[in-house]
Amino acid sequence: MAKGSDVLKRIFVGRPMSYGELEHTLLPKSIALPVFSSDALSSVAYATQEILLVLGLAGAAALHLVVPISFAVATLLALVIISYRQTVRAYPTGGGAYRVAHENLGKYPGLLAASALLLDYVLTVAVSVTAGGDAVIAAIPNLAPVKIELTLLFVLFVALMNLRGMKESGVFFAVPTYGFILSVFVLLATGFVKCVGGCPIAESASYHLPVEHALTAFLILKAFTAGTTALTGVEAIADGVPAFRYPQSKNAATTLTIMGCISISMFLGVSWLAAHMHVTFRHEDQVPVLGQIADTVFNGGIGFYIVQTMTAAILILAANTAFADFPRLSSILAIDRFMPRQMMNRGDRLVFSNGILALSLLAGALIVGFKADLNRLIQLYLVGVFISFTLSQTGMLMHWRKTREPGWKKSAAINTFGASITGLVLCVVIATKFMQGAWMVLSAIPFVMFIMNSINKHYMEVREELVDPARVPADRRPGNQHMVIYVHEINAATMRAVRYARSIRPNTLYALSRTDAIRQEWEGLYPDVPLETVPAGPLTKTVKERLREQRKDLSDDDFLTLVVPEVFPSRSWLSVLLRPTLLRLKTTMLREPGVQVLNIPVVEEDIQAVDPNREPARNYVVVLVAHVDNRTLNAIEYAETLRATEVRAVSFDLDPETTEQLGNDWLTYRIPHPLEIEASPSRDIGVSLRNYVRNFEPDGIERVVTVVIPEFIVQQKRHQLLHKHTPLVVKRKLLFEQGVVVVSVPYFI
Amino acid sequence: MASAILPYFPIVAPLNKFLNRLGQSPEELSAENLRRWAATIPRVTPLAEAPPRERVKVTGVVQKIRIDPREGTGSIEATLSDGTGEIVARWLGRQTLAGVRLGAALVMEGIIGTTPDGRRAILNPQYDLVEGPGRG
Repeated sequence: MAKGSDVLKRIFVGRPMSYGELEHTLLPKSIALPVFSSDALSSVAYATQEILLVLGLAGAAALHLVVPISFAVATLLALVIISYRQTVRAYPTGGGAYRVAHENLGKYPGLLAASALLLDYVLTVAVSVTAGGDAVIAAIPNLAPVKIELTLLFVLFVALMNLRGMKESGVFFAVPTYGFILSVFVLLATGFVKCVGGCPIAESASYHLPVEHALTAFLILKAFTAGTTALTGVEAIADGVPAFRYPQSKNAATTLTIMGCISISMFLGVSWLAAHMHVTFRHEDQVPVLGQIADTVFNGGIGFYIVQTMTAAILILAANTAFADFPRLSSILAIDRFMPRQMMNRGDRLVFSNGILALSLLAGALIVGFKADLNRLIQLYLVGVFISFTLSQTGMLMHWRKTREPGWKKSAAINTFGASITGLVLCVVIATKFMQGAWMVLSAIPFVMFIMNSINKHYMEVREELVDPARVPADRRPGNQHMVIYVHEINAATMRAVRYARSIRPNTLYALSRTDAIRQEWEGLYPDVPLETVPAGPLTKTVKERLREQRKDLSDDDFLTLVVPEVFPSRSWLSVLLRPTLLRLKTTMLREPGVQVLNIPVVEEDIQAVDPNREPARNYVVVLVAHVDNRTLNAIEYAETLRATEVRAVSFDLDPETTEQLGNDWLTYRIPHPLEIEASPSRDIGVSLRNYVRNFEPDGIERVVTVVIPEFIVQQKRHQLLHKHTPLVVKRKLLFEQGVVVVSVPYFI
Repeated sequence: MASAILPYFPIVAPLNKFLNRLGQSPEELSAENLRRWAATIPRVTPLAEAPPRERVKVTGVVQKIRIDPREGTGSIEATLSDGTGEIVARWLGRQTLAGVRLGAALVMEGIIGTTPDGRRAILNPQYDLVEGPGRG
């Protein structure tokens, strides 16, 4: 079963990569440009059209204003780009608006920027793939009834490409992006040549535009706001600096400049041609402005179709930019403990897989919820992005006031101006789009902020509970150990459990059974281990009550271990699920304070005939650790009661900083056992630990390896979702390992 | 899929190199990377050729670390590899790791001996952290 899914994963996602290859997944500028700029370029493609749509309300005479308005938008675009270039230099770890706002304005503005950005990325995916779906349906109308499924398929496709790796998807999607840039520039050049001595006139110039609105200052402001669509997507590079090749800041800044030059010249060129060809745009169902210009310049023909196809392609690809940024921003938020730690996990291809999956699911839900209706989705747009612009500009202003680097006054002036204009645009966007859907985004943002803040609060509480600098590892002995063997039936596993328990010589040892039927056989086999029967009733309840009663008589320094022996007919998951009683007993007792669960599984094919009174000669105890905290110290104290041949701790390096901290703490706390730090090339602790214990060559007869897993149990089950499921993964991987005994030592918070 | 669309890209050469790398196992890849990197460090002896009981200068990237606070004031053991061989560096009486972490690249000077279990080791070497193969 596992084999098959591995093969599938390899076909779709590719060969697993080791952490050392991270360097190879970084993007050169030539690929970073299409990855991070497709969102910005696609919005440029539509900005002129948005301006014309508003100006058209005042009649055809107002349309010539598109050029000055476009210049104003382009100036703002240039300012924002200049400011983001500085952001990229000042905050090379990425995170863009979130990082700037968090560091300079405080926690809540930071969270505001982060949630606005995250929502905007989800919207970007939903809007762009829906637009792509519309384009495909325009070409093949038969597909209209399956529009939602088709759109979801696009999301799945982009998600899969991104799971393959950022570079791989970047290379694949670079073709249409460069194709779009090239086709627009060819269009502009041809257009300018044809305009020497008088521009050709577009077909739509003759359309009648009734005057519905006077040409007021507010209308011009509205047209300007509509044009600021061109700014969306500019933030992408600043969020994704760590994806660039070294030197990261410099490369990101250069790419930002190149992107700015391309977008501004494209935008101004399109607006100029549209004005001089008298292009009008009144209804959403008309040929888009860019298409109309292509039609006029190339007189229809192949050129027109190329521009149309490329525009559709770049629209879908805007989603790819969001896929590059959302997971990275989530991982940054997870490092700062505002998102579940799982968002930091890198998958087989070193991308933040969980972030990619989360983005796909959210975007998919949005598409289904809005029935892939572009006109409704697009209304939600812009609010988030302008909130983040305004916050990042204000944050940079504060940054300059604090650092006062040479020339800071000029930069501060740029940011002051940028912040006021983007803030003004934000107000206009909210005012004009509130009823059409902006209210949804505006109410979702506080909700997301609330969730992130609660996550943070939970992590902080846990950290406070777990770290106690005064605590030193106490010395424990086998006398502190009390063991209870649960006997489901008398079999090879029970025998191993008795041999194991005897070798530890715990303070007390007895067996617990549900039935009295085995008593005679048991007393013949193990006269030294008294057998108790639990009263009738649900098994987990009666066992729990018996252990609680015993726990009352023990001191806080004592451990009470429930030993659960199990025989599996084969190394298959089915055989685990077919014995729900024992599984339930283990999981329930894990949540019982003061009780440790030690599992002794035996697979039928590993059973050998041995003298039931012989004890394993060697018991190597391995404690899996990640941090030095109360949970770990508790597990180490537990390990000391196991009369081990050797106790050692092992940690697998997933993140160099955490590991170095662990090493230093290990020395400072003077924990009296060696700690080994090993690499985990696959970033799968289960696999790495399995390979590690195999080095001891355990056979279950002479040599046993006991793996001690510190777990922590939070009171509310939903909080458990915020913690990595490493213990579960490890137990699963070790279950069928010959001679490996796994014990969970829970720590309650 | 990737190879079919290859000819259309301006970045064929690096991509080709990348595709070739796909054929290698991670172990081969890292050994080759390490050798190529170690060759750029001046005046060091490759571990495979480093003679025992002589003062040598060697380099390597930390693969494994063992910290044992029991012995005296604590010992730190790092296993390094330069792609040609492995060596154990052992420091006694240290309170911090001071930059010795997995993936760190060190240039060390000391005398190569043998540990009780037969591995080659340098005791208390002087070391400098250098730019490793990880970052360009």
